[in-house]
Amino acid sequence: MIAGTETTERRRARIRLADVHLAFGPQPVLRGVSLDVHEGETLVVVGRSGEGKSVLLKTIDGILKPDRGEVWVDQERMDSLRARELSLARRKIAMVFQGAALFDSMTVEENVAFPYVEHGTCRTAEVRERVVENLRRVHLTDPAVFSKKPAELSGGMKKRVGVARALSMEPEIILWDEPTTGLDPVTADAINDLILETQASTRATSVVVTHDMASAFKVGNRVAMLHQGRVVYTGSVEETRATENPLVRQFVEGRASGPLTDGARDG
Amino acid sequence: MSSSVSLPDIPGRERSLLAPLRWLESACLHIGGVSILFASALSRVFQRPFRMRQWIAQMEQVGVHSISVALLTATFTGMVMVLQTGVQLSRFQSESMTPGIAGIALLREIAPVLTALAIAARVGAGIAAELGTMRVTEQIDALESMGSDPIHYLVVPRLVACVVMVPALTILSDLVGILGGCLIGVTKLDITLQAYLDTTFRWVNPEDFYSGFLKTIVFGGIVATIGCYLGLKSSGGAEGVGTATTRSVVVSFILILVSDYFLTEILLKVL
Ligand SMILES: Nc1ncnc2c1ncn2[C@@H]1O[C@H](COP(=O)(O)OP(=O)(O)OP(=O)(O)O)[C@@H](O)[C@H]1O
Ligand SMILES: [Mg+2]
Repeated sequence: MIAGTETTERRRARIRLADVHLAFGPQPVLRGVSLDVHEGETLVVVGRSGEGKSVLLKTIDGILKPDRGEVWVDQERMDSLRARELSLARRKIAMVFQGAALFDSMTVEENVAFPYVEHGTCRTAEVRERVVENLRRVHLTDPAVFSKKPAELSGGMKKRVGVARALSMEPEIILWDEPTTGLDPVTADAINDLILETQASTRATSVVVTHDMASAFKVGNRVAMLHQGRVVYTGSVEETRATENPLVRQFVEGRASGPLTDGARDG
Repeated sequence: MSSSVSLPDIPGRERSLLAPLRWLESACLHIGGVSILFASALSRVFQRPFRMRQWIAQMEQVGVHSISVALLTATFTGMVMVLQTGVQLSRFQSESMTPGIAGIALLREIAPVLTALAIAARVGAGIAAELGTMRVTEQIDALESMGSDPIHYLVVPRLVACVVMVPALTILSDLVGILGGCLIGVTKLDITLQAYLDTTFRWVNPEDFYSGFLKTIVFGGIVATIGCYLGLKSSGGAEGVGTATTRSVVVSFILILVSDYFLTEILLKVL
């Protein structure tokens, strides 16, 4: 292969998507997404609702299989790993689901303990201590909450428990699906701080999907924009603030009319 | 979608011609899917870690919580069997045969099949609803994304529980059914308790018990596999979960009744 350079680059990029296509039946969602996420960086992915941002994260995690294209995480191709290797590869990746996706048969504490218990990644005596610590990091300190079931929590609390559970994976890569949506501004900013702090303390590589541009500029190193199934823009946070790209400008400024909304797909 | 008038005639006809093929295709896909799920679950039964807590929880859910349903079904079926058989046989002055005939029918067919159907309705539907909800609320995705295997974590405990508990409940149904029949025989048909039990033991052989009992192992497998398959496959929110739940009951009922016939044919030759 001529891939001498390609392999070294792949080592620097912890996540690499190459020409990923994915359709649900007749509806194409990803139409040739190519994207690199580098070691230790936080990439913010923005895009309009329904553009396929959640689908993109699930593709990286191997939950959805692309119809075409390659999904690399480190040296592993997530789209063609066998079940057992895939589940091993996933243990270093944590996903914060948009809807929290907590196990509703378990209490908050059991949810957050799940990764430790399931994979035996820490001694049984330490589990509770770590669970309490992870819940503290998302500002859940009231012991009364620990024994509640997800159905008894508010939306924002669920979201934070979801984040705590992701932290319990002790991940090298974190995929955040709208971590601040639906939170009050104070808690939302605490989550922003948490993303920054996690990145600083663990050197984790993050992909953050968000609509919230303040959050994007605060936590991100780079910004990518998804539009009509492709990544139409990538740039550093500074570049993004100053960009003349009309699609990005419209999104950042939150205008209803502009090139984003002129697309043929909207009706 | 709105202006069907402008559609040319041919695609419509093609569509209706293709409909049976489509149906056949999806039927084959489902049969394949169920078989694969069953095989993967079976191959993971002895895979570590053994999730004893889940296994026990499911056994409790399937077995202990179904006792009352199974008992009620068995008691009244035993009673009505003896009543009907006794009244019909008395036309030929043969009511003394009642305990034997009712006992054999109960052990071979009635208790195993009705117990399996009761559990399909109670447990199978519950499994489909629970896994369906987990699917549409992304809990299954979350499980996978944390590097766990949903088949090992969710399907295996339910399969083990059903395969153990449906036969166990059938034994209970057998006993209770015969007792219920005995009650009617003694009170309504003027058979003495002694005569009733004597006739039962003279007529009923161990093969009668085994032939019913062995079938229920298969029935248990059907209930768990269908419930899990339709649950895991469900999509489209609450409505999808509802469909999966209903369908799991219908499909399990049909499969239990159909497999019962073929299993009976085999067992009549073997036993
Ligand atoms: N399981 C699925 N089956 C069918 N279609 C799906 C499925 N999941 C997503 N889609 C479709 O894919 C498209 C992208 O969905 P996705 O959830 O990724 O959007 P999103 O960019 O995350 O939007 P939002 O910002 O609102 O969360 C949507 O049009 C949706 O209808
Ligand atoms: Mg989304």
